[in-house]
Amino acid sequence: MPMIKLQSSDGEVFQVDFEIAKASVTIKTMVEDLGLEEEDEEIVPLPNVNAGILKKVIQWATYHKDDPPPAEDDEGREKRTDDISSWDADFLKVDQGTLFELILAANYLDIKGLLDVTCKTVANMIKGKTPEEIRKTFNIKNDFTAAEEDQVRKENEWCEENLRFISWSFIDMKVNIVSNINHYFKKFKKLWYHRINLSH
Amino acid sequence: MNDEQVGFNLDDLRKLCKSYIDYTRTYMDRKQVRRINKQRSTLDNFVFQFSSEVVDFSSQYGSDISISYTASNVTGRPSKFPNYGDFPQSYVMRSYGPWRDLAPSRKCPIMPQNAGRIRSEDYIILSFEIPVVPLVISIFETFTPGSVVRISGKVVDLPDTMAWRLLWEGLPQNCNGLRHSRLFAPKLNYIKELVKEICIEFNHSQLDYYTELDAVSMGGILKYPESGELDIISIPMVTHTSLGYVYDNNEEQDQEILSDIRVPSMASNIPMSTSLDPFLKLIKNIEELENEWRKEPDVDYTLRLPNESLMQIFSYLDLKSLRLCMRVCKRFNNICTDGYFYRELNLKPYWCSFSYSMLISLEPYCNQMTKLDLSWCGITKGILSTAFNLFIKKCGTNLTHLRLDCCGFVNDTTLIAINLFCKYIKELSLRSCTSIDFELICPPQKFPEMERIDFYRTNITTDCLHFYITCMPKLKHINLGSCKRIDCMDHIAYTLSSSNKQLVSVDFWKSYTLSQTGLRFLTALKQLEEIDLGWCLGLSIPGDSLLDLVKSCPKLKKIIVVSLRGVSDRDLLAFADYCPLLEQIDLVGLRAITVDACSKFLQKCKNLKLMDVNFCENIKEGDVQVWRLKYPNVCIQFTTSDHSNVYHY
Repeated sequence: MPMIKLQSSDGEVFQVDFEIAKASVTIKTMVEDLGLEEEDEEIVPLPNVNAGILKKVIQWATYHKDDPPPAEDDEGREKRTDDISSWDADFLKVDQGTLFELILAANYLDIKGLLDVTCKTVANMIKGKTPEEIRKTFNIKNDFTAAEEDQVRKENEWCEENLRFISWSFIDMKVNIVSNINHYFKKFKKLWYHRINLSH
Repeated sequence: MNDEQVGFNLDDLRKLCKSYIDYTRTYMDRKQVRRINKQRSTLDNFVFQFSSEVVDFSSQYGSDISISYTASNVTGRPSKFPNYGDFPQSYVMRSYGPWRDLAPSRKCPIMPQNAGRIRSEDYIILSFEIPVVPLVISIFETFTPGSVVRISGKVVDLPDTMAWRLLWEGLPQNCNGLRHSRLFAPKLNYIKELVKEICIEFNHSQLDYYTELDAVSMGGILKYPESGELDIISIPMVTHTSLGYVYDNNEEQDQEILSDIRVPSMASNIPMSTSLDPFLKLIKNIEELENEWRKEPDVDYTLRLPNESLMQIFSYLDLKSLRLCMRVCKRFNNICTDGYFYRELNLKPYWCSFSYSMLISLEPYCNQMTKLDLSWCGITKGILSTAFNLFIKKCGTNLTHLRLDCCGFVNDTTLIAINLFCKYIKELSLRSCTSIDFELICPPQKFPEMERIDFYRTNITTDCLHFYITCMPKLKHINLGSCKRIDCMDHIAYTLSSSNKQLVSVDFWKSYTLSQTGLRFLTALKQLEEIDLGWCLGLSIPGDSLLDLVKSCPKLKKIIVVSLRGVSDRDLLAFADYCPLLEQIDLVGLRAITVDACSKFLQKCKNLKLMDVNFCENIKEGDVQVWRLKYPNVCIQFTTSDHSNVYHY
């Protein structure tokens, strides 16, 4: 089995089975472009990934080495987030720093499976939370002014449970304008009836 | 707080409910029930009733002009419960299992991340005579139970868009091993308001066959006790009762969810030791680890991610979560309002609170929208057709897929608006849109890109349909099931054969006016992969027409010929000879076909996945068992005789 050497940003070198490293499209392309041969002493540098993260990535790729290749079409792909395998779920029980580093690494190394599962994990951390809870979860600073925040909140009133204060004025406002279409409709109706009568 | 203070005990209520149910079963006389009521004088406040009216529903197996298998059968007292079997006196919907998603006519999902964990496929809204605070809702399932996934109640005296309350939801089940009717009474979320109408949603994906409902009851109190709260007691587990049915309160499922909580994989490394100390230490370690993982960070790591990665994360969010994310910070707001997230919009899961303000808040971002699913969103009457037309005018330019199933606000003007403003539309679904009168018999302009149109249970007329399909040169899929105003389906078949040569699937379910002549026209459709001729009684004796059709359509993968009594062995063998790709076949009620022909058919059809031979009189259970062993990859539907009933035409 051919091996390949990967060097992390902090200089550590990992020897990995090429079949496993191939999960990364970036590495695969690099190797193919460089025309690396078996037994080659050349080292593939990965300047964007540190040793700790690279180790985790290799661990993930090793476990998933027999997975079927990811589907090509993005359109029909399932967007579920409740289908994370228990191994992946445990694998991703890491602090947020590591989790986000893994996303960056998966993105850079172009490992679709890892990118999907890490993004899903973060999405699950967001789902069903109020904006304040999301800020707390990720330590995000609220940079809205009170007026701006009020504006955005109003726009999304229907997202809150037990919504009570829907502004009904919208409906009345628009009714006048849209009567135009009714007008069209009547016109067409006349026209087509007329035409059909003529054709008979 | 004790029972005296509350005024009643929930356990008593349930017992009372059961006694009512048993009463309907054994036809006890009314006096006895009154006696029960008297004994429990504290329960004067309690009302038990069966649904009195069907307000709305999404699909039914029967047709609007018949009484067999129609939605109205679910009203009133149970007529067959606790008997188990296929009864025409029950309510049956149009699908079961995975078969629809495996057919050539399957539809693509729209914004699947918004569909949630529990998707629903059908619904029925039932009304009761007396508004009550609901405590027990019981669904009497007489055949293949398990598809109820959600129950909502509509609070009286509130605007429709704010009135719906979730009473219960759960995953679809497969209870087919039971072979018993089921009284499904899940534990409800208790609300304090009065409810007169309830909506039951279904997901048939786990079922082995069509589910059948006999009745729905609602028990509750006339008024919520002013002082105090309801005493909620856990309900007994699923038990087989001696009365011949199964009582299910869905408790089991809750336990499943509990057992889903995982211990980190480290737990498997627990060293074996006689002392408890290392074990306790390990538990502490795990706890620490968990806390570490859950700990809120000191740094905002999201800042390290490029927008592209955040977009990828947000692409997994449902619409509500996405909209709440908008309020987190300016950067999130900028990303979340990207048109990318609004290219596909599926508001069906939000039908219960759908209103014009919801649509208007999304409008500014929808200019790139290509797919829109507003199915069921008409239930709340939160939008007028004129307002929707305006939305279509503004945001419909790039629309390719539009689903408006069961939307009462869709009328003739809406069709015109879609025709005028959605130039690229490929799919239009108008299932059960009964408010369209089709007065304007011809659309003003062509639908140049239209590939799929669904007119199931609409009021479309022959003339109108003729003009519509001639306007759709690229049409591939058409559904004309249960369109009761089409008085000459042969004419339509002729039009299809002359102007829509690429047609892949066509659904004529319950088209009583399709005859041999019409079927012969269809022989021109060489690309046909799926044809539904179920209950086309004009074709009862198909003669050679069916034979001619399969001879000229070699790509057929799915054929439904339910109840076409004249279909013979010769036709069946022709299916096998001329349609090598055949995967699904529905032969229900074919009296003439023989065991020999079916055996040969099974042998020849290498790709067959589903064969339904219920009510085929010549076929006996023994034959089916032999086939099931011989062809394990084929799902052969056959209900054993001790459960089946006399078949009614």
